[in-house]
Parts: sequence; C-alpha cells; structure tokens
Amino acid sequence: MVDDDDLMLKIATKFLQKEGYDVIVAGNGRDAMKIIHEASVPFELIISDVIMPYSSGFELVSTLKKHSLYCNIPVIIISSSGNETIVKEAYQLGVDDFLKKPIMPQELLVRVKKILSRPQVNIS
Amino acid sequence: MEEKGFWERLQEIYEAFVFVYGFVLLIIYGLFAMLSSSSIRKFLRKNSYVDYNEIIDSPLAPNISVIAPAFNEGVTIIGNVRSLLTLRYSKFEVIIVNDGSTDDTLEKLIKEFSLIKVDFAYNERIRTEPIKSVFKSTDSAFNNLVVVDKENGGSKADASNAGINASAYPYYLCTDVDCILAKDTLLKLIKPFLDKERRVIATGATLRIVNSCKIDQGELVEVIPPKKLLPRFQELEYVRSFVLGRMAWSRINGLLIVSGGLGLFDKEVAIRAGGYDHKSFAEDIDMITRMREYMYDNKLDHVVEYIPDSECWTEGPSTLKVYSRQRTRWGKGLIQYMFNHRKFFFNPRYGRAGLLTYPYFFFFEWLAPFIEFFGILLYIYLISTNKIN
Amino acid sequence: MYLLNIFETWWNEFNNSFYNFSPTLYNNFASFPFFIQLSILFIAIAFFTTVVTYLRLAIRRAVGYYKELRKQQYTPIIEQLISDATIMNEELHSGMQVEDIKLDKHVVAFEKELPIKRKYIRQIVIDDMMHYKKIFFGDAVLLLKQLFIDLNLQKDALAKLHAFNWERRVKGLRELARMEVTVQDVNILPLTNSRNYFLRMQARSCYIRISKNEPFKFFDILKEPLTKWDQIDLFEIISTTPNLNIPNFSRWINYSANNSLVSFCLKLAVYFNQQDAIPSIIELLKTKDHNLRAEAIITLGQLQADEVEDMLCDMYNNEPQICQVAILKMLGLTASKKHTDFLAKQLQYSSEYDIKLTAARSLIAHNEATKNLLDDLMQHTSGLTQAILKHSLNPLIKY
Repeated sequence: MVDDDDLMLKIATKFLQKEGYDVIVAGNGRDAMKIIHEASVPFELIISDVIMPYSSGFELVSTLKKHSLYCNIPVIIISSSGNETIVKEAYQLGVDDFLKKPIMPQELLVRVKKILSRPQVNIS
Repeated sequence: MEEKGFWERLQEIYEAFVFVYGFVLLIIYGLFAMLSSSSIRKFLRKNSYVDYNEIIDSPLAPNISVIAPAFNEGVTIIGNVRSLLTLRYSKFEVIIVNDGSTDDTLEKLIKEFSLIKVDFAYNERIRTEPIKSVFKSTDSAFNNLVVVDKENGGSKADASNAGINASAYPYYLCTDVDCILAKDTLLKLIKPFLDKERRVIATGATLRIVNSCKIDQGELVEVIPPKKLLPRFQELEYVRSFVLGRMAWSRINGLLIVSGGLGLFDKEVAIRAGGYDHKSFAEDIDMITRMREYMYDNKLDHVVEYIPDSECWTEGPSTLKVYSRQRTRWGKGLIQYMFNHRKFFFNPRYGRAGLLTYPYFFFFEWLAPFIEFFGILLYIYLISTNKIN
Repeated sequence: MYLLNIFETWWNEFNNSFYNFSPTLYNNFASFPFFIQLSILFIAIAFFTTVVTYLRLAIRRAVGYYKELRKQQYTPIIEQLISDATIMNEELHSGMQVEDIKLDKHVVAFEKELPIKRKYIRQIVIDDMMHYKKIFFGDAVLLLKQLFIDLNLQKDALAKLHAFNWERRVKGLRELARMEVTVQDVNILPLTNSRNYFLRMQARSCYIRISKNEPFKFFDILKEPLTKWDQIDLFEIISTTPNLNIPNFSRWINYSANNSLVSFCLKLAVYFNQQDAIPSIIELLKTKDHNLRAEAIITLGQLQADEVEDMLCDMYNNEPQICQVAILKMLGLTASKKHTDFLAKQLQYSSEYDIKLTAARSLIAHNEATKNLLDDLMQHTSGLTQAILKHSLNPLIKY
C-alpha cells in the first residue's frame, strides 16, 4: 500500500490485516519500487495514491507495467482527485480499479477480494 | 565665536546628514517591523483554518505552468525535475527550458523521461533566441512535462521568455531548476490570486539557503541552518529582507520585487509588459516594475502579493569569490534598474511603488554604498587628524 | 512648527522623568551633545525591542515544541481509540446495524486512556476525526459522527462560534460542517451577516451544510463579489453535501446583478447538468461583460446546447477575441458536426494563434466525422496553420 498520508496507511493496513491480508506500506513511489524489488515473495496487489513525493503513483504504475516481472501485478489507485482526466489516464496506464477518496472500507475490501479472486497469470 | 572654515562647515553638514540618514533608516525599519508583523498576523489568521487540499480536488482550480530554465545542470537535473513533477497540485505542466547546455543535461532528460521530439507550434509572443526542438514524454505518467531545447540567449531572461511562449496556462511559476521547492508551493502561491477581490498580478514567497540542509534526490528532507559563516550571514539577510522588508511592502501594495528564484505570475500581464528583459542584470525586479507600469499606465487596479512561508531553497555562495561575483551582478543590476525606471521617482502616477518604494531603493539601497564609503574615508581622516571628540 | 513644539514638550518631559529616575545617570546623559543623546535613546529603544522580540519568539518556539511533543505522545492512542470505535468496530464487523450499535464502552475507553477533560486533547481528537472523514465514508463514518456527539465534542465546536477571534469562529463552523452536525439557525445566522468578510463567507457556506432551511437564501442578498476561493469552497460544500435540495440556478443567472455570482451559478448549472437553465444562459449572452459572455458561451457548450450554435456563428464577427475563442471552443464541446466548415475557415484564415488553435482542437473533437477534412487540411495548408494542426493532432501534446 503506497500513500503519503500516514493515517490512511495505518488504518487501511489494520483493516486489511484484520481480513487476513499481509500488508506492507510505503510513503511514496520510489520507496515502493525499492520494496517490490527487494521482496522475497512477490506482491499480489498494489494499492496506490497518485500525488506523492519523489515518484508519483502514475509513475509507479508505469514502471511496473513496463517491467517483465511486475507487469501482471494488479493495481488499485486511490486518489483524492477524481476528475475525468486523472481517471482516464489511470485506466490508460493499465490500472485495474480506481477509487476516489473518501472511500468506503467495505467497498475497498470487496474490490480487493474481486481482484485477488481472478485467475492469476503465471509469470514464473 | 570662531570663524568656521568652509571644510569644517561642510563636514558638519555631512555629519548631520549622515545622522539624519541613519535615524530615518532606523525609523523606516521600525515601520517595516510593525507593518510586517501586522501583515504576517493577518496572513496567519486568514490561513489558520484553510484546507489547501480543497484546491487540489476542485474543478474550479486554475491551471499553472511551472517554468524552469536549465543550463548545464546535468549533475542534478533528474532529481530536480522529478521534484517539480511531484508538486502537490492537480492541473499543472512543467516546462524545462534547456538553454543551450553544453553538457549532457538534455541527453539525461531524454533518457530518463522517454522523451521524443514533437511538432510543437511555438507561439512566439515574446521574441527569443530560436527554438531548436520541443520534447514530450511517451510515458503517460510524465504527460505534463515539456522540454524546450533552444539556443543559448546569454541570460536566464531569454529562457524564461521561451518558457512563457511555450506555456499553455494563464499563470506561470518561474523558478531556477536548481532551486528546491516545497511540495505545497503551488497551492500556497495560487491562493492570493483566488482570494482577493482586486486583481493579483504576481505573488512571491520566502527564499532560504539550502547549503547545509539534508537533500535526497531533489527533495528537502531536513532544514539545517548553514554551517559556514558566509552562507549563514546570507540566510539571516534573506530572512530579514523577505520576511521583514517584503511583507511590509506588500502590506501597502508597494512591492516591486518578486524574486527570480520563485514567483507566480499572471501570464497575460507579463506578456503585455514585454516579458523578461534579457539585457537586465536584475530581470526579476525589472519584470515586476514593468508589469506594474503596464497596469498603472492602463489604469488597471492591481496588487502584488507576498506570503511569508518559506517555499524555495536555493544554493548560497560559500566562497568570497563567487559571493563577490553575485553581489557585483546585483549591484550592477540595481544601478541599471534605477536608471531604466527613473520615471517612478516620487511619481504619484505609479502609486505607492513610485512614491515610497522606488525612492526608498534610491536613497537606502543605491545611495547607501556611497554614503558608507565616504563615511569611512571621513572617519579615517578624523582619526588621523585627531579631530574625534 | 507644531510638530517641533510637540517634540520639544515631549523631550522636556522625557528629561524630567529621566532626572527623577536617577540624577547621576541623567547628569552623565545631559553632558552629551544633543545628537548623541538622541542616538543613545534610540539605541536603547532598539535594543530593548530586539530583546523583547527574541524572548517572545523563544517562548513561542518553546511552547510550540512542547505542544508538538504532547501531540505526538497522544496521537497514536487517539488514532487507535477512534479506529476501534469506528472502522474496526467489533459489532459492525459482526453484522449489526449501525443504528443499533452503542459506543458507550468506547467512550469509557477514551475517558480512561486520555485526559479527555483537557481542551487540547479534545482538539486533537476533533482534528483527527476530521482527517478520518476525509479518507473514509459509509458505516464507519456514521459511527464516527456518533462518537463525536457521544464525546460531547460538538460542544467545543459550538463554543468556538462565540469566541473573540473571528478565525476561531470560522474553525468552529468548519468543524461543525465537516462533522455534519445540525446547528440551530439562531447560532449561525448572525454570523452570516458578520462585518468580517471571511467569517461571513464561511458562515454562509457552512450554512448550506448544517442548516435545514433554505440553504441558498444568501444568494439573493449577496451584493459583494464572490472571490474564486469562495467559489471553490462553496463548490466543495455543495457538491459533497448529501441530500441537498438543489435549486434551479437559472433563477440567479437571470436576475442577479452580481456578475461573480452569475459566473458561479453557471458552473453549478454545468455540474448538476441543469438543462432547463439553458434559456436563461442564452439571455445572458446579451450582457456587456465580455468575460461573463465568454463563460456563458462555454457553459452552453458544456450543456450540449447545439440549438444555439447558429446564433453564435452569426454573432462571431462582432465579438472580441475572448468570446470568439469561446464560440470555437463551444463548437468543439457540442461536436454537432453542423459547423465544421466554419471551424475550418477560422483555422485557415485567422491570423491569431489562439483562434487557430481552438478551431483545430474543436475540429479534432469531432473525431471520426472530421477525419477526412483534417487530412485534407493537413495536405493543403502550410506555415502556421499546418504547424498548429500537427501540434493539435499529436496525442502527446495535451494542452
């Protein structure tokens, strides 16, 4: 989960962990990339904000989609700005879902479950 | 009663003059302190409850072009451009003007951001050196980045003008590519344009010295006051000049300087005023003055605003050699500026800028070195001839 | 002369009081020439004010630092308590209805683990809750609002409405508005007529959210200009208040003499897609204010009012450039294919960059319908026209 809002990270993490998910957090796109590279177990889902320091959410998605190892990791974007251009851009980059803040925790959970229940493409 | 000699008379008059000069300056600083603290207090009260994030989400927020000329910045260009691209704002473009760099600035940009040449219809509203090409990114994560490659014009002014010509939005932020901007710069600087009834033509904010601060790839991590003595003096000088001086001037709408390192401008007024002057050594003061001149000449009510928050961190010279070069340039710029805009002197047509600000610059900035120099000479003379009481 | 007399009187007064204070010091002082005396006096004043200022700043810094430490100490606990009561609420997870959930034990937890009686703690809790509300909505937030009331925090917010400083009153208003607490008119109406501009505007905008009676009443009496910032603030409240009774904004588009309000209503009409406001907007085209007219034209485009296109093309030649650009933009927004030739003409024959660019963009906005026309233009034009065409057709150049 990538967001520069600490409170968002804390709460969403607790919420998802309660539902049984393992959550690792990062405060910006650059740190997220680092964590993804160094992870011993591949990530199954990335939830990211858009406007962040060092490297925006879109840059993170764009980098992931170009990388052979990570291009199949599904991405959910959670942004405080929901204007048409940003949503269009997000889908053009290949994100799997877009949520506008404020979000309903149940809604997030439903979408996470839906994405993770899709048949995964085998990348090994 | 002794007959006072001519020279002694002159000396007395000069001494009295210096006394009055210093006295008046002290009173002016006292006034500055009062005006500035009232202005800052007002600013703090007005913004104590503001949620700047409202502007990010609002469809009514204006679009801003960020213009940053770059010359031979190959070492830090990528970090700095990334830092500009990740400013907190929703609708803005970043225009990097590569001013004929001889190093690998352009190559680095092209590689990092996947740039390709595009057929850009360059609207030369202000005359500049020829544009070689314009680049845009093929990666849609960087779709708000524009890189303009042009022939070197010998000055930052020419590059800034090229940036203005290439920009698409009604407001532009002019900065140096090696300045580090705070993430909320655009939010803070655009607010005065939006919350005043009168037309705001420019806003500025405080600049600080970055020399000993912790920087990580173009992002400010920790603010630390400069460790060396020379930059430390400059930090103090900046705080005095920005927070004390400029807040006071902006309180009475007499502000004539918005620093070239950071300023948000109304593009239309800037173009009508003729853009930046590439012959000027002090193109930032010159620009604001000409913008004001345009507004006053056309009898258009306007203000130049200033916010006290520190938004831009810039490198201060740490050696005497570089420092003296900078100050000489500023000095030359001031002399040139005073001459070019002499019609402001005590001219009520130009409002408080003409009646107060320009004369202040004349007497207490331009004249000051002469008075100090002669004062020192006189003092040496008095010491050597044993005339000190 | 008058000033000189005043100065002399004051100087004598000063000398007398100094003498009374300490004759020896005064005698020393009086032995100096006048200029030196004046200098010493001013140096003393400057020194004194500098020391006082430094002390004030140091104290303020120290207090601020201490407050920050305090905040950092309690924030994790507060965040945990709020989470437990709302998002992570056990009863909510077990499927209970929100209306049936009681938060008593959570209130007790607050009282046990925090010095909740202290004002600064309550303020941190309020600020955190406002932050929560920006991130989440739904059942968890209903519980949050319940918690806000159970902890009696709305009393703090209401108390702020009677504070001495106007910015504290504004803060109180915003807290009440953000937490969607209903407030009696008697508490808020006087603020909507306050002499302080900022307080007045904030009160009016918060009134929309927290009052049940005629939220847009003040539109009728608004005489002063509505700044862009106020519009942004109002827009945010109007677009995020649930169950708001949205009036037909054409009422003010027609009858208000306040141009900034009319401009704002145009934007609202677009946001709520009020098709029946179109006739009023067409009437508005008669206004003498160029900027407002241009805005009205673009609004018609955003509302897809293609019936008015012919009239706009007829008035095109008599309009200032800003309105001409607006007309061209409008044709691109409706993309009705009826005036593609008109657009092509402007693209080719105007000498103004902005006109050409807008015409090109509007042609491109017609997508498939103008593909052939654009190919044709590309082949048969040159110079600036062709450059602008290439510029607009490039998908990488968005602006």
